[in-house]
Amino acid sequence: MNTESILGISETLNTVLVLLIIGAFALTALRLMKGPSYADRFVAIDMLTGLAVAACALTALTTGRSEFLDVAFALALIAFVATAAFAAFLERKVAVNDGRFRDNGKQKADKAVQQEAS
Amino acid sequence: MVDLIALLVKFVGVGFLLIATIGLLRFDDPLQRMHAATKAGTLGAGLVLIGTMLSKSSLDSTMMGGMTLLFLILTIPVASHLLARAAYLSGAELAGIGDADNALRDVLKRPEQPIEKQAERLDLQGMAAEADIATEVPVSADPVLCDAEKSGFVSLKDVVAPERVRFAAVGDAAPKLARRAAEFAARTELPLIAVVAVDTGYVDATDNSTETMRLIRDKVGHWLPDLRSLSDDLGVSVELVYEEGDAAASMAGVGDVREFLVLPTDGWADHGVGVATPHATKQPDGLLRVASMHPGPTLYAVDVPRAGPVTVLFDGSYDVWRALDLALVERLWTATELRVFGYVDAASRAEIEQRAADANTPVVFADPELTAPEDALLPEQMVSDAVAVILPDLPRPLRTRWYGTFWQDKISPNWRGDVLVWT
Repeated sequence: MNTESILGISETLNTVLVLLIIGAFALTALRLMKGPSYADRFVAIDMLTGLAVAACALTALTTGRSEFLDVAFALALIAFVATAAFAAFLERKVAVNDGRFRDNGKQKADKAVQQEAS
Repeated sequence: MVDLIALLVKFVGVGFLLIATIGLLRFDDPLQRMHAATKAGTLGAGLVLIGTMLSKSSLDSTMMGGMTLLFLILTIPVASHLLARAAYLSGAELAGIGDADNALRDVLKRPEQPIEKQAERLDLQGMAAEADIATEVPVSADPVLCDAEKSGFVSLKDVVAPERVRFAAVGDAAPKLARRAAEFAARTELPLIAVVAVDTGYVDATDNSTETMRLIRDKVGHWLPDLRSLSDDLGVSVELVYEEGDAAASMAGVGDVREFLVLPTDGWADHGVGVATPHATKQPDGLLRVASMHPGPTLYAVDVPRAGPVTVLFDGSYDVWRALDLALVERLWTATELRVFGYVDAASRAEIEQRAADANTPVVFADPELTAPEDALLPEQMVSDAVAVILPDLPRPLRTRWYGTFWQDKISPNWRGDVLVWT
């Protein structure tokens, strides 16, 4: 196999790679929908951006436009901020919920009972 | 040759990406899934980028690809660390965590239930008025209440009665609150503590903080003789506590002493001195947070006690039993009627009737068909003329004003009165 023929089929193979990544997108989307916890969904979103970066790089090859690499860079930038924001959201949600639930009241009451006993 | 290598690298990269997504689907808990997604995912994306750079083999695409790669490598560890921490803190179900061998047990606090479950549970409590749901998931499945059922609803008063009375001695409502708190203390023969909590966040936010501080101290100073004579009249011992800093924390006090806390319904945002803060974006007082910051009951009191019906939002929880008991036994209000809203099972119903009879208060149970409106905790006919409500929880979010809506509007629109909560 000479270099010429590889060049010829690499166009096609790039398209195949993009299709494979679309498959990976579908699998990740499945996890995104299934959850079950918020954390699972956020991990899936994180994965989606990784896939999007790879897809952008491959698109840059199949279309021959190197602008898509800039898109990949921007996506990588945004993905970091997004993940950090999601994590902060989750932690804040916990903080807000804290003290609200019966378990908390129970702990306090248990403590009170213990004190009473001692 | 370079093209061949590029192709190979791209294929390996996409292979890693596929493996990562399969891992994401098949692993059992968020942390394991993250392990697949971040490690194999980064490697895959990185390899695809390298392959693209090799195929393109031009300077600008190599630059751009290289920068993306560098950025990915720099940020992914940070991002996944944050996400993993959040996953742990959110109480998501993690294999092998939550047992005794959890090394983080004493380091990071973690709820026993995932936060999604907590939200579901709240919904259930809200919907418990609909009987069919209540039969599926009985509200009395609450572990605490089950204990109480076994022991025949032991009077909780003996176990958890407050040991001190504490009230907010700042703000416009302070003199009237003092009277209510002192009367309660006199009746129950508990010591009384007046808390002058100055919120330094508010003072610093005003234009002239020294002047504001002086005004606040003056105001408290002028009023103190009245407090002395009040306590002498009622024969209550008063201890005065002055604290600067986080006012909410000072109000709640420290330690595990169960205190009956009396707070104004509208907070002490400007400490009664009326100095506006130029850039304040939130109420500085943290009023509603205080209820969950101390182990005792909290009464958000309006100025003057009135006689009238008292409404209970009953959800079968330990908290609402405690609060109800306190209200009935100590006769916090001259209750002409006790109204119970929410799903009440037969045993609880008999128990409430018994306790109300002991306290000589007629009791009315809400029609099971009756539901609370969308944006309120209680239906209007239950609270329209009520002087007080007993709640298992304060309405969310914990802001005194939320987009201009006063927090009591979330209990029932335009209703004002006492709120007793024990969380």
